[in-house]
Amino acid sequence: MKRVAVAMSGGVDSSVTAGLLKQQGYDVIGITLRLWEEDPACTIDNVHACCSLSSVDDAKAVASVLGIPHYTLDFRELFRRDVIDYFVDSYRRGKTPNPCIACNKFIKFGLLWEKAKQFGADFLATGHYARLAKDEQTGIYSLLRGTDRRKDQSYVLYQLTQDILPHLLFPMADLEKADTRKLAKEWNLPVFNKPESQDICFIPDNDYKGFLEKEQKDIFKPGDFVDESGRVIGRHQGIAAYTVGQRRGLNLGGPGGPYYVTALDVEHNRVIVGSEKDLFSKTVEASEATWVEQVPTAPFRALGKIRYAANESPCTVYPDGDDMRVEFDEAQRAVTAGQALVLYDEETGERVLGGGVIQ
Amino acid sequence: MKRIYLDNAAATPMDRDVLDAMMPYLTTSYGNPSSLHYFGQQARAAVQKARGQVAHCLGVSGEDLVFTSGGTEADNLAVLGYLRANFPKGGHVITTAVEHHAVLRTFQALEEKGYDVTYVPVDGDGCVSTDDVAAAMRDDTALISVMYANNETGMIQPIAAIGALAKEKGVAFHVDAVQAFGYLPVRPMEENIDMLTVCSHKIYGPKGVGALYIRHGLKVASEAYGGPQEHRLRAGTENVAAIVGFGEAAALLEKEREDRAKAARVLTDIVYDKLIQGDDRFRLNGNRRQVLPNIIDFSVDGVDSAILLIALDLQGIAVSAGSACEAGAVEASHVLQAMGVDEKWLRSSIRLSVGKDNTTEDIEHAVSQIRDAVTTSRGD
Repeated sequence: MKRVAVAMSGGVDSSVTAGLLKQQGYDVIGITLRLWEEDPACTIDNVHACCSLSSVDDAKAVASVLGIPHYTLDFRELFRRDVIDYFVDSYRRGKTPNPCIACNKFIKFGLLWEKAKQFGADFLATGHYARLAKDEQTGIYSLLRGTDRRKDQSYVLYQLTQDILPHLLFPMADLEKADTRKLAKEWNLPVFNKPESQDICFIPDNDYKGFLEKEQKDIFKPGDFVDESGRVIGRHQGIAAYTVGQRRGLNLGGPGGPYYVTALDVEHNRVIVGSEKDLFSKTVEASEATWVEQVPTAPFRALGKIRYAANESPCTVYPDGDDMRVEFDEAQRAVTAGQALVLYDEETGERVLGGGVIQ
Repeated sequence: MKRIYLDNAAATPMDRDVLDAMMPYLTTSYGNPSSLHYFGQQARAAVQKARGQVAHCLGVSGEDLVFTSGGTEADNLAVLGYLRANFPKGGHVITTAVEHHAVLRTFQALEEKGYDVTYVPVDGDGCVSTDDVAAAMRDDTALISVMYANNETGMIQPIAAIGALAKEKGVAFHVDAVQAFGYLPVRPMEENIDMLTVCSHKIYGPKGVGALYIRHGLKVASEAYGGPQEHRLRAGTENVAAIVGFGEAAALLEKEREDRAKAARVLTDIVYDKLIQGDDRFRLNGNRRQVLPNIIDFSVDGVDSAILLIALDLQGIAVSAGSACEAGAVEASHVLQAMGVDEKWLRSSIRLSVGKDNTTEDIEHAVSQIRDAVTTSRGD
C-alpha cells in the first residue's frame, strides 16, 4: 500500500483530502504543522486560523473519525525564518509579499516533503484546488487549474517543478467547494461547517499593520507623499503601510485627486502618488523565475496573472535566465513588486507554465 | 501489524489485579469516604487500606502519606506547601538542572516569587554530585529537591548522600521518586528524605493518583482550600477507586520489584548490546552503571526525534522522545543540554522504557525496526 502524508490544517479541504485518499486505498498519515506561536487572539471562538493549536485539535479529531494516524510537526523555527521574516522584510523594502507562496515553497512542499520521505511516505497530498496530469510519452507532469475556477489555487503553486510533482496528490482537483462540505458532512467530519480560513494564517485578526509593528517596532517611519513631479503633498505613516494601487487611507485631499499609490521609494522613504491612469503599465519585470515543465529559451506567448485576484491576460514573455520581462497586450492595473507573476499557456489558460516575483 | 509498547516510563498498562481491586469502587461501593453512613465507611476503609499498602511499600506510616492527583500535584504540594508553611518570605532553595518539569517549573515560579534558586549542574552522564549540592548550600537555604532517578535518561542520583548532607545542615529534602519507585527499594526514612513523591501509573496502577510522603512533624501548608481531607493537606473528595488501584499496585510492586528489575535490565541490555554499542550513529545518553533497569535513552545522529517517532509508530513501535513533547514541539531536551551533550544529538533522543509485559522477542523485533527506521530516515 502506498503511503501518503496529508498536510492537514484542520480545515474542511484538507480533511476531505485525507478522507478521499483513505477511500482510494492509500496508507494515509495526517500531519499538522505547528507554524507560529499562538496568539491569545486565536483562541477566541469565532477566530479559526489555519495553524493555531485549536486547528491541531480539529485535525486530530478528523483523523480519529477517519481512522488514520495523525502527528504534529513543529516547524516554527523555519516558518519564522522563511515566511514571517520574509513577510516583514518585504514590507520594509517596499514590497507586497505573498506569504502563502513562500510557505508552499519552503515549508509545505519543502521541509514537510523532506520529512515525510524520512518516515517512508511515497506521496505528499494537500487540499489545494489544482490538478496534475502526466504525459505518458514524455513522463512530464503538468500542473493544471482546479476544475472549480472560483476555487482554483494553481496560482500559489507555480513554483512546483518536476522534482516534486511526481510525488504530489491533489485529490480536491475536481471537487466543487459545495461537494467538499457535503462529503465532510456525510463522513461526519467535525469540521464540515468550519468557516474559510483567513488570508494570512499568522495574522488571524487581519491587522497586518499591527502585526508588522509588533515584529519590528521601527518599521513605520513617517515620510512624504510626493506626486509624479516630486512635489510634496502630504505626510505618510511609513512605507510598509501602503501597497501599489491603494487609494483609501491616504488622507490626501485637495485638487489633483483622487490620488493612488503608484510607487514606494524606499531609498528616500517617499510614497509616490498619482492618478489612476498612472497605475497602468504594460511591462512587468520578474525575477526568481521557475518553470513547471521546461525552461524556455526563446520568447513565447502566454496568459499572465499579476496577483491572486487578477484576471489572466495575454502577454509575450522574454525569458532571461532567472529573470524575465513580460509585455502585456493591454496595460495591467497596479503591478506590485513582491507579488507573483504566474504564467499560463495561451491556448487553454489551464496549464501553469511557471512564474516569478515581480520587481 | 504487531504493536510493541516501549513507553512504560510514560504510563504502564494497568495490572488485571489492580482493575479487579478497583471495580467495586467504580460500581457498588460508591460512597464518599467523608460520609458517616455504611457507604461512606466502606469507602473510607478502602482508602485507608490503600494508604497502608503504599506506605508499607515505602517503609513509612500511612499517617504520613497524602494522596494527590499524581506526581505533579505532589511535587507542587511538597515544594510550595513546605515553603509557604516555613519560609513564606523567601530564601534560598536548591534543585537540579535535570528535574522533571513538575519540579523545574515550580522552582522557576519560586524565582518569580522572589526566592533565590540554585540549579545544581550534572556531569556528562547526567548525575548530580553531592559535593556540588554541598557547595550550593547557604545559611539561608530552605529546601533541597532532587529527583531519585531521571525520567529521561533513567540516571540514579546519590539520594542517600544528599539526604545525609541535608540532615546535617538541618535543611528539608524533597525527592521526586516517580520513576525510581517501581524499580528501586525507595526508603525515605533510611535516606533522610523529608518529602517524597510517588505515583501510580508508572507501577501498573491507574492514572490520576499519586502520593506525597511527609516526614512526621514536618509542617506543610495546603495548596487548596476546601474540606479537611488527607490530613487537611489536600481538600476535595478522594478519588477512591484510583486510590484503591494505587494501593493494590503498590502491594504487587512490593512482591515483584526485584524480579521486575532483573527482567527489565535483561531487556534494556539487549537494546544496548544489539543496537547502540559499536554503531556510531547512536549515542547512549547517561551510562549503564547508574541507571534504572527499565530505561535506555539514546540519540541518533542526523534524525529528528519527531520524525523517528512517527516512523516507528507507523511500524508499531511505541517509544517517546527523551525531550519534552508539547503539542508536537520537539525542543532540545533540557536534560541533555544540562549534560553538555553536543548540539547534533540534542533533538534526536529516543527513550525506550520497558515493562513487565515485554518479551525478549519484542525487544529484538523493536531493535531491528529501530535500526531500519534510522537507516531509512537518514537515507543511509
